[in-house]
Amino acid sequence: MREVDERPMRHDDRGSAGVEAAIAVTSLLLVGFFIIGAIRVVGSGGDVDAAARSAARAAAAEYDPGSASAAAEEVASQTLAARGVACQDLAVTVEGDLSPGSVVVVEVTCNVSLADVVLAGFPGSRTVTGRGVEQVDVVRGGQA
Amino acid sequence: MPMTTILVVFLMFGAWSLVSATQQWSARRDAHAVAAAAARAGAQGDATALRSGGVIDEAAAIERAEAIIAASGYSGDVSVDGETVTVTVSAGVGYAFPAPGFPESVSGSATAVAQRGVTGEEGG
Repeated sequence: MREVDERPMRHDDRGSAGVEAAIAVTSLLLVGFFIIGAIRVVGSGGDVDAAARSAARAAAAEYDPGSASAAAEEVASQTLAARGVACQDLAVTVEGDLSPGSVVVVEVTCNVSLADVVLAGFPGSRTVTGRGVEQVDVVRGGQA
Repeated sequence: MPMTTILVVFLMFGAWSLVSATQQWSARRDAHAVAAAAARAGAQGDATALRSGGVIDEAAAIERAEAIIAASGYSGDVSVDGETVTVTVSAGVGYAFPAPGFPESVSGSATAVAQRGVTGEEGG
C-alpha cells in the first residue's frame, strides 16, 4: 500500500499495514461471498422456473392425475439435474384437471443451499419457487 | 485504506448491477415463456372453423390464450391474424435492491401458427 509511505511521519504508524490488510481481505471476502450467494439464488430461480414450465408441458400431455404428477416430478428433477442446480427438498405440485382445454399449473419448490456463504449475511438456505402454466390440448388422441 | 474502500464500493456496485440485470432478464424470459404458452394454447383447431376452410376460431383462441396469461398472474395482449396468434405479456420485475435506471416492467412476445393436418398439410 503506497499511501502509507506518503503519510507525514507525525505519529507512529507501525502495525497499521497489518490491520489495513486484515480489513481489506475481510471486506473483499464478504463482497465475494455476497456475489456468489446472490448469483446462486437468482440463477436457481430461473432454473426452477424453467423446470416448472417443462414439468407443466409434460403434465398437460398425460391423461390422469397420477401419471401427470409422476411426469411432472420426473421432468422437473431431470431439468434441474441437467442444469446442475443443487436443490434440496424438491417439491412438485400439479393443479388443475386434465380434461381437454383446461389449464394445468405446476409449481416447483426447492431449497438452495447457502451454507458456504452465510458469512455475507445469507440464511443457511433459501426456498425458491417456480411456476409453469400450460393448457391441455383441445383435441387429443385416444388413450393408448 | 481508501483503495480498499474504493474497491469494495466498486465491487458492491458491480454486484448490484449484476443482480438487477439478472432479475430483469429473468422476468423477460418469464414473460416470453408465458406468451409462448398462451400462443400455443390459442393456436388450436376449431371444428366449425375447420369445416369452413380455416383452422382457428378467433374468439375461442383469444379466450384460451387469456386464460393462460391470467393463470400465470400476468397481463397481456392477444391478437389473432388469420391462423397466427400473437401474444405479448408484460411482467413487473421484482428487484431485490432498489434499481433506479432499470425498467419497472418488461415484456415478452411470442407467436404460434395453427396448421391444418399433422404435418401442416391437409391429409387423410
